[in-house]
Amino acid sequence: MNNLPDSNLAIEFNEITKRFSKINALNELSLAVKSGEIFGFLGPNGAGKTTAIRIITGFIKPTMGTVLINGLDSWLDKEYISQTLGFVPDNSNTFSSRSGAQLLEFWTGLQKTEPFMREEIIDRLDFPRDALDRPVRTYSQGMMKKLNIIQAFQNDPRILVLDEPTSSLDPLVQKNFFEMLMEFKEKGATIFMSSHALAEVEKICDRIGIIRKGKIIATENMSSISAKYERRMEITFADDNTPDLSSIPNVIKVVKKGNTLYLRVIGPVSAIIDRFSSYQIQDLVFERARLDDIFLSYYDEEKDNNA
Amino acid sequence: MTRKKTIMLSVLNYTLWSHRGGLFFVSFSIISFQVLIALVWNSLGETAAVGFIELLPDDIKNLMESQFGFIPSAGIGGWLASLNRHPIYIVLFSTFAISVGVSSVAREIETGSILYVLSKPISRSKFLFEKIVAAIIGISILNLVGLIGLLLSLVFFSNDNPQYSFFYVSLNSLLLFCTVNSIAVMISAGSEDSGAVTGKTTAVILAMYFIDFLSNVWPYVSPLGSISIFHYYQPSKIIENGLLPWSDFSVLIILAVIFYGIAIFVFKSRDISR
Repeated sequence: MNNLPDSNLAIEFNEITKRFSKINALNELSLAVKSGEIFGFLGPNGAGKTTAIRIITGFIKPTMGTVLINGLDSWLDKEYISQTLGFVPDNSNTFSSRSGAQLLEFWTGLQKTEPFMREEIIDRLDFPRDALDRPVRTYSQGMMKKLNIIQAFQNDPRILVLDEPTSSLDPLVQKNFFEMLMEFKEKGATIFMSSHALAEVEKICDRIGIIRKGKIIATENMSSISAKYERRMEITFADDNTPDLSSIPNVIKVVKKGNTLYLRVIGPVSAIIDRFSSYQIQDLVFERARLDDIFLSYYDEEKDNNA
Repeated sequence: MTRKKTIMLSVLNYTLWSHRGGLFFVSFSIISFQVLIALVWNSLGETAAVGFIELLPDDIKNLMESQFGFIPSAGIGGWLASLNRHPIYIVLFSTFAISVGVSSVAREIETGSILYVLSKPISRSKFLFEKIVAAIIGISILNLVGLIGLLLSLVFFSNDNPQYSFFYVSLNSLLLFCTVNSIAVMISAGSEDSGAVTGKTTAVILAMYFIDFLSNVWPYVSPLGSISIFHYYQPSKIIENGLLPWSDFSVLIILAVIFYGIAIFVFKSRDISR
């Protein structure tokens, strides 16, 4: 790996505004991603995710504000930053008559570092080796996406910027891909990714940022998310004798159906457990806060505010 | 497992390789065109060919003089060299020059391949500069093919000796079509729609061609002739004088440098958002 100037923050958006004609794609967006973390960048289509990613990678110049990558300006120092940056664009179309192997060599020639991880990544993504000699215009979307990932990861980058990296990948390859991301993180790489695969983002991301209409509306730490968001609890008792849990402060709602209590809770649950521990329990289901619920809750809030 | 290395390690090689089909096709067409013209000349014989042209109505003769600049005294060599201004020749070269120019930026963005290239440590100016050098090399190859075709036609169909002026004509053609390419690159640099770039560039080149044509045959329009790049491409004059037309060359070089410069400036400062 090449060494860029050290900094605790790998990626910093400082009040970034990006205007296309009369449309504000990003609106005073500020965000910081720490070195060595996996950051999930979430939002619906058209929220500004790809614009933000293209600013990090130096394809778009902000109208106002700066994006710093390890302390360097993403627009002015793009050439230097790219030495240790791997980028997987959302757009995987290419109509080239060149083979996959030729394209990888071409991209390697531009990167100017040895692609010593290429073989390993080809294997892990289950990329058929004989397909490397075929023109890429004959590739399926999934194969093109794999080639796209190989070119970004093959030089062992220090920062990975991934725009919808798992779209078109089958579940098994997705699993291998996320394992690979964890290994890159363990080696100290910073990963900034947008994805609609919320279940996977939830598993691997350290933090998430939710963007809407070009503004960050929430950044959350995945480890503390359970303390902040509503979770569902389902307790089935052996008989009709059930405790009254509605008076416990962390319980938002209780619905009783037969022997079962359906609870919506937030924060610590020790008080709830204390209350029902003297009762005979037949079954207990307690779900983690789900990212898709959190994601949707922000959008519902926005809708309510706009209504 | 050992990695297979290829020679395609730069944007320049990559671009030239991409256009190898076009280069081959246009080269083949140029040679065929020259052989066809030489065969016509040869089958008529020099006297008959000149006599045939003399028999044409004045308007057609004017047109031929203005557009092809035919000089009967220059023989088959002059005939072939002056045909560098034939519409077919201009269409063949312009097609290549415009196509390479369009693909320099607009088509790269359209297909998304620019995202892979520019995410690597290569500056935008270096990327476009290599594209421009590849285009100039491609156009030079075509001109070299044209020159070789002309010399071969002379060897096979006449006893005329090659003159330096043939090389000058080829150089004038190189500069003209580099200028055509520079216009295409300049329009392409700010766009992401290759169809629109092809349309706009073709419209500009056609407009210039007709301005030059009209300025040659219609005195009222002649003052406008100098705004067309074709005004600075005069194979017949070169054949006639045997001299290097420095002023025409200078204008074309300056225009090409300005257009390429604008293209690099525009490309460096634009967003790639598609």
